[in-house]
Amino acid sequence: MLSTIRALVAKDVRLFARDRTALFFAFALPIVLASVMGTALGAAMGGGGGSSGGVQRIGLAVEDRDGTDASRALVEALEAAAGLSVEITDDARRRVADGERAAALVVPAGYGATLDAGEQPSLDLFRDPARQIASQVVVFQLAPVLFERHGAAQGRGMMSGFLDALDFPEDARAAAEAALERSYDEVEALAQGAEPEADTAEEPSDDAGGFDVMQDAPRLLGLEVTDLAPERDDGIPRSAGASHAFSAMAVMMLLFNLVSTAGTLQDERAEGTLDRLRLMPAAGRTVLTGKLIVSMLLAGVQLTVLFLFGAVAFDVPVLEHAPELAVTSLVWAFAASALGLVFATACSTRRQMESISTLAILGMSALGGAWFPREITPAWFQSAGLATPVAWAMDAYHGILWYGKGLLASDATSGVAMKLGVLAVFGALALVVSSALYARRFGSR
Amino acid sequence: METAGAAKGIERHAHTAPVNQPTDTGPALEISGLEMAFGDVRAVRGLDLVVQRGESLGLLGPNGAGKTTTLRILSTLLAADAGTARVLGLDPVTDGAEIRRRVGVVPQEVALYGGLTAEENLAFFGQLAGLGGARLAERVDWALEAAGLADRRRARVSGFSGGMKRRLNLVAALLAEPELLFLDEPTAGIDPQSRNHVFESVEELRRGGTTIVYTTHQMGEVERLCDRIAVLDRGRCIAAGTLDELRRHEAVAASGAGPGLALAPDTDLERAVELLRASGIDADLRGADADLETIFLALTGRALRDDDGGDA
Repeated sequence: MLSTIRALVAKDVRLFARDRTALFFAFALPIVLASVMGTALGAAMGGGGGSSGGVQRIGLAVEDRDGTDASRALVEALEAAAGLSVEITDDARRRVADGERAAALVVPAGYGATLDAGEQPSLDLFRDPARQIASQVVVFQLAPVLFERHGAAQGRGMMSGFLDALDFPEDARAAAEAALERSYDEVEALAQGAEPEADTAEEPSDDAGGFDVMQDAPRLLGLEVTDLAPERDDGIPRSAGASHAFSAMAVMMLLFNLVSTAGTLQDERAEGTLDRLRLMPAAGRTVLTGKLIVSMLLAGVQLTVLFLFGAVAFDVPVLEHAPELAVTSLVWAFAASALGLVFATACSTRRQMESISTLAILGMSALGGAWFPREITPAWFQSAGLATPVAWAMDAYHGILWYGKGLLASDATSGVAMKLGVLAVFGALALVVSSALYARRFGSR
Repeated sequence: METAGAAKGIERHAHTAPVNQPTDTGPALEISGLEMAFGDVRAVRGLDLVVQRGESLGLLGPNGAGKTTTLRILSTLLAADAGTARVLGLDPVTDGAEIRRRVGVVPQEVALYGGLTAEENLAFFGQLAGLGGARLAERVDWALEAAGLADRRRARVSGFSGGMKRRLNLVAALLAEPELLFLDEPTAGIDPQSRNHVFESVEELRRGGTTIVYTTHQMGEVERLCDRIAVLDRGRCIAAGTLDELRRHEAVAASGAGPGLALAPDTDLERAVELLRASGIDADLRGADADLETIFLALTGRALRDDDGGDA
């Protein structure tokens, strides 16, 4: 009995150890994916990002409408901030509406005068609600700069804002403001070297509810926040989550399915039917053309079903952007199908193809932003993402579904035509490569 | 039921199978000094072979002899490293498309789509072969009858027995009525009834004038189906002729003359033995009635060929 069990176990261990695909999925793939995610999210979630290290710089569009020494000094301070990548523009709001930046800061006219009067100045912060992580990081990066620049006015302004955040009762507000004023004077005195007085303050109440750091922190900093949530034509707010999810699925799952479709070339090779096709007068490289067309047709059906479900179940604005989505899907289906052919012609067996393509698709999806927003990843990670078709397809779909972009630029937004052009180039290159690989493997037949 | 269907198909085949008249004069196949290597493995080494039109040639050889590689070169799937080949007077390198139009290949594997029905498979390969419309429908009907699968035309091939698949595999190569047919071990792993059905189909094709090159390990098939036999070993043709010629060759060789001796079919063997003895060679005619398997083993040796790992 024991010897039988031992023999059974030994047999399975041997088979597993000799199955390179199983070994790949058991050991290599988890390590590679964990490394990619650790690198990508390390900076955003704290503790560095593996070998990349450091904090990711978040893009912030800044528009200076004041033009005073004070506003220029603020802008310079923002540019010097370690966590921000500042873009000076005269159309900051559009940069956010366009999806080019997660947030934009507008320094209003009168900023310098307000500061000179010893009052806390107000700044306009435009945020993209679809990119909450990046928007929050922007606020955290703004805080030390604004504290530094606005000094005492900032502190007193924050006190008032703090009371607002607590929904402080109006009848007791005057007393509270006086108490905070005294506290502020004491803190200032401490800063100048005075002895502290006995602490007679009561323990803070646990009932400080109502203060939402993410919502109220900008207000304490004197930021007037506007979330630029796009609306559909019927006035219903768009869902950023659904938009991103359906864009990501349209991109990532299509790649998996099309690689699988292209993999039928491997099946035909193994079963001998590919040779039979190659023996036909009308076959030859038309085999590849046939694979490309059937892949694109399947992609069309798959994307149609996916987006229609999104429209019905999640109010994804599919129908109002049907022409743009159709063109984008056609181009993406072409690029993804051609990429699938590269995998199918480069690999010798279906199992080899499945291992390599799985790793490549998951890697490209992570780099290209199908898993998490690219702006929270290190700069080199973002650059690498642009080398994948996934990033361009994600940007195109998300641009249409969330930002309401058309193919061409409009008054409100830029278009996605350039992104589709890049995708088409990806597809054309992949087609050339797959054709060359096919010829190398099978000759002209 | 399969057998009955098969018999019916053969009858129909006998009436409707095309009679291919050679469109050119000259041999159907001419191979000279053919060479093909895969890395360090020389699969074909200076192969010379001629097959006349309308002839049926059996290509015999142990695993790794170069049979399949030779067929792949002749059917344009591979380009030879060196040597020349003419297929129906055409060059496989420059006239590939024309050769593929006129040549049929029954591959070693059952090269069919299991997810498609018998009819769909035939229609698909027929279309790729250039057939269409009523002609395609007619040829598909003929092929289904010939394979004895008319009553299973709408059944998926994945559910077929090995014999049914082999029969369908054969007729799929006949849709475009090829002048020259390569059959690469067409009866491997099938039941006696289906094997007999394949034999009858090949015999019918021979009667119709189709040139046939038939590779197999089964000596009985070659004896039954082929006019001439070529024995390949390690990429070379080591003997060629009719079964009778091979017997004579082997008989003399076995008696001491050696394998390099070639005898014409009309050689007076008694006289040849006398001459050999006069030359000091201890020749005799014992074994001149040997069967093909004995001759084959004598020519290729009895050493196992497992290291070849399959036919090259």
